[in-house]
Amino acid sequence: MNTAGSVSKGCFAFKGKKKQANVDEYLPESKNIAVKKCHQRFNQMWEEVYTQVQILQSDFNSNIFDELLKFAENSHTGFSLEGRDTKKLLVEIPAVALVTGVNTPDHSTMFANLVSMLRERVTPLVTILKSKDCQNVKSILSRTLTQLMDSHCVADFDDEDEDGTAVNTVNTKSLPLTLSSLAKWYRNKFLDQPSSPKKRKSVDGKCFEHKALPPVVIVMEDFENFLPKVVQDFLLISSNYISHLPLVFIFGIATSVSAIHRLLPNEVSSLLCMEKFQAPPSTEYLTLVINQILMTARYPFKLGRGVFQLLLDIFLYYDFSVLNFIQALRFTMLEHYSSQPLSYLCCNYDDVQDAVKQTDADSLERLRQLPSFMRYVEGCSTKEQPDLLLNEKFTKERVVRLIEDINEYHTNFFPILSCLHVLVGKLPGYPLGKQLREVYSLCLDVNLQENEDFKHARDLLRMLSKDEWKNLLVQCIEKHQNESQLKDVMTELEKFVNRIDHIDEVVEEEEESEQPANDDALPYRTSLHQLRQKLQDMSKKQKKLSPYEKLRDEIVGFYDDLFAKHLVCPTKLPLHEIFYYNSTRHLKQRLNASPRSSLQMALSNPHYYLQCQCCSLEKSALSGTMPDTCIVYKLHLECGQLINLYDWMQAFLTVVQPEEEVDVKEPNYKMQARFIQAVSQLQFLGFVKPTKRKTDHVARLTWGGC
Amino acid sequence: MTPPALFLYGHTSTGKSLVLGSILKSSQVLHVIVNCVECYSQRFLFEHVLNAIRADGAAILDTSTLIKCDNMSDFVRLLQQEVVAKKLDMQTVYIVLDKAERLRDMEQNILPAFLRLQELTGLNLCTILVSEIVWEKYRFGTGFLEPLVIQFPDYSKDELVEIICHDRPEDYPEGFYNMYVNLVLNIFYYACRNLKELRHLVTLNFKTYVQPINSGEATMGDTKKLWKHIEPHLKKALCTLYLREVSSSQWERYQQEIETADNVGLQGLTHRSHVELPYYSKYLLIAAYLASYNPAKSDRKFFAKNSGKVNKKVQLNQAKKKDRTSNHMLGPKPFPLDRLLAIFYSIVEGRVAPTANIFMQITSLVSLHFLGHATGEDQIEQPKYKCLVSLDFIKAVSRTVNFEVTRYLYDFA
Repeated sequence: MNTAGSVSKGCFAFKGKKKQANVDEYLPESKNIAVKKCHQRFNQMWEEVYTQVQILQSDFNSNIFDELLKFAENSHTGFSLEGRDTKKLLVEIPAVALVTGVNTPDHSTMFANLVSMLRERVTPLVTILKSKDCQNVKSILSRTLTQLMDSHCVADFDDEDEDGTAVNTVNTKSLPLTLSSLAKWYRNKFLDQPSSPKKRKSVDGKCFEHKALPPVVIVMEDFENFLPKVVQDFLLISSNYISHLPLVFIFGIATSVSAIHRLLPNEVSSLLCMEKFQAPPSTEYLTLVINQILMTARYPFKLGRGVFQLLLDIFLYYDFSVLNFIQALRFTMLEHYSSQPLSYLCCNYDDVQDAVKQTDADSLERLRQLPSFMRYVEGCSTKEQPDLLLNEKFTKERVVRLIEDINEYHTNFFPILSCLHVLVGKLPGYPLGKQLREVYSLCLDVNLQENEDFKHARDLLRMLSKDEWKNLLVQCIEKHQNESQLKDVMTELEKFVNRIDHIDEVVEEEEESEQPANDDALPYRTSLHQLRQKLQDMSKKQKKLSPYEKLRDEIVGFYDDLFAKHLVCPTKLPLHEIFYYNSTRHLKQRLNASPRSSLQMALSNPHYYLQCQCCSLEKSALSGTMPDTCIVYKLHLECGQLINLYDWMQAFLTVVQPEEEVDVKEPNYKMQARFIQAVSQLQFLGFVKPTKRKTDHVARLTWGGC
Repeated sequence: MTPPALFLYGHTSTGKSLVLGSILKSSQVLHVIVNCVECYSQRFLFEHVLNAIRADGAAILDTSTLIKCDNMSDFVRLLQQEVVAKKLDMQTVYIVLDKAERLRDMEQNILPAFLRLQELTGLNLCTILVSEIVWEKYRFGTGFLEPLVIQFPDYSKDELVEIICHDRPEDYPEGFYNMYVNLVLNIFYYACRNLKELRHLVTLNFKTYVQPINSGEATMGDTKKLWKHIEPHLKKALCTLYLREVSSSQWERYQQEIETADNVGLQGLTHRSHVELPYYSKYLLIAAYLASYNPAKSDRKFFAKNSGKVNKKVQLNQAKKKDRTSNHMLGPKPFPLDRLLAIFYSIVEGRVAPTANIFMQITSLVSLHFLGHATGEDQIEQPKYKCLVSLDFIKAVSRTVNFEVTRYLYDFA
């Protein structure tokens, strides 16, 4: 029935159409084809990244979830509605303490996954409770009941006739809100049905059998924030019905299990039969995400050193939240594709040909002006240079080749990088860091050979023993057995391993042949200085190198060459601007905003934001042309803890009004109003507040002056 | 005529509900049992009683026949109607209110009215209150009718043993199990007399006790050997008494782990309260702890740059300090946000911009209950917090960032 046509004079609320942001309105020059192309490319690339992220997420928690599901499934194996076990008087409520870690923003996705898995595999009767919805016992009960009864009706819509569901929904509305009605409902629902287990098809085609009497799972997402009284009562009530309802509780705990005892007294916790599950820490998840998404040749978009470090810092220093990290990554990608007009070339390897072909003259010109491309042109032979700058076809071919080079560089870069990590990851003092991501971040910055830490690490590598080296080499080989493009490197490494194994059999014969060469080196007459030099040289040479030491030098040399060849700093590559986003400052302002300092900036130096002619002054200077709030703010900086309003206003008037016009006797109401408005704005911003300690005074809430 | 009201009290698990329930059941009288925890409103209490009398125990799902009632006078009237309609006026109807102490928190008239229900309705009714606290604690307000008080005394040790022995698994002889229960009770009796908890412990540890018998190392007569085997396990269980952090199956798994690799299982139990936090959160938490347990006056001494010169006053103060109570005895004190941030910036390494993320961390620490909002007049302009973590916890946190927290604490410095 159309409610709008009703005769009653009620007020009807209509859900408006959900406004969706139109991309064209936000992109600055949406007419421009290049911008549109960039946007499309962004959507495409993000889609790919995001699917990968979701796969990672579901895989990541699968272990712990599997165990948890098994527990939920088996906790009520002997449950039956008919014969109540009089012998088993001591019934505890099975409960799971799921310790999730402090990264609270990630939890909602995690629990959503958990709930959908529970629904799919264990029971259709799952309810999820959040502390903000459950402020008293009534609301916690109503949440539980409506979710359980309604969801089940909806879920069963397809395999029950319509009458059945209609009756069910009507019933739930008017039943008293108690667990006893839930127990009765449960009894009606599952006792009257034929006992054959129901089959439910899940999305991926697997068939899971729900038991005839599925357990009722109650998930409490943020257990710490529930009111103790409410949870206690709820659990006490539940324990009364445990013989009628197969209840299972899941407590999501962010900190540690002791939180349970803070909330529940012994009287209640003794009703529970708890099992603890520890979710893996979010740092592991982050490592997984970085390894699978940023450190792979599969996705062409890459982060520059500064940006990579910034995103990592936000994660490690602030919130431990992978969800925020992924959002930040998304933002970075969006920023890259919208700020770099050539970024539509940053695409999957197969599309490069087409993308370059479609490039128009304008874009090509822009490409030629990229600093890295100019550098590349300068390095080319004089014969090619004019072609590269003028000949369109020639340039395009060359661009395709350069992009191919970058792609190949990436495919080699990451395996070699992990080799490097294997070598340096266990050195004493960790000169390059413990984690793979730290080594990566280093390589993004400068060429490895120029780095002091790397030199130090190389020296340390020269001191390793035979066994350690063999171990490292074997690890390297194991890691990259199935990378076809590195076959010759691997065979080389295997040769080294072989030689280390047989190092004892090598006869030391070469040294004698070298010995006589040294003898004639001392001339008859020399200056003292020369002599000393010579002797020093000789003492160095005389240190005999054992065959193993020689081999070790050879290996280090080999690795050194390998790193020099493959671990080139990406900023040295031509066209790197297309693939690497590197504007740290820009990103910092948006991702790690500091409202306080920008507020202070606006108040003390309004020119920075207003860009007007009049206020461009020194930082602490005052002028009448500034906005009133700024003047009042600057004046209040000179005061102590309490500010006299009258004095403050006098100071304000002297700044705002030119001196000759000041008429002390006659109060200027307009000026007073302006002053009061400015003061209340400061109060709104949290710099002052009214106080009762002294009349006509306000209290300062900040310290320090100018 | 039955007495109008009975009051049963005794500690947890002294058999109140069990005895009452079985008496009512065996004598086959009409009775209604209400758990007062469930009654979040008086309406629920009334309707539950009325509907239970009407339905006589059968389940009602037909919502149209449910009785609606939301005040005491309606309740009395409807109760009369129901009882007369059911022709129950010849026999006594018992209304059992379990966890009756909750009734005190409800509307003032409920408890007196239920006690005088016989008088009010003129029916043959009896209200039975079951509680864990003594009757004297109920006396506030007026209009009480003194009920007949019955106390359930605590079980003695021998009684406990006898009761627990009922759980005996069938394949072990009575004397053997009796001895085992006595052993467990000897260790736990001084710490815990709760039957429920003891039964839990007895069933939990029985498998370990009989393990040598199952593996053939000992016979049932080898009491000494079995005792040697079980004693360390029980001592360990004494540490986690009442906690119930692990279910019996997980406990067994832990035990196995301890046997295979001694450290793994222990770690699971001893590192109960370990929490991994982001870097700045750690410093924020340390700063909050310092702000909570140091007097604000001492901040200059610990954090100001020129703390080298010590004037006489400070020295005097330090001399006096010895007779003052330790701040740790008094508990955490509230502190304003400004002070927290000032301390944070003076202890954190490197320059940290006061970004929105830092403020968000404070909020998330509050939501994790590491910090608490102290109530004050202005929550927005000058919010105040309290640090809620223990000294041991903060020591563990500061160890991970190489910060010596005791050097900055007024009580220890």
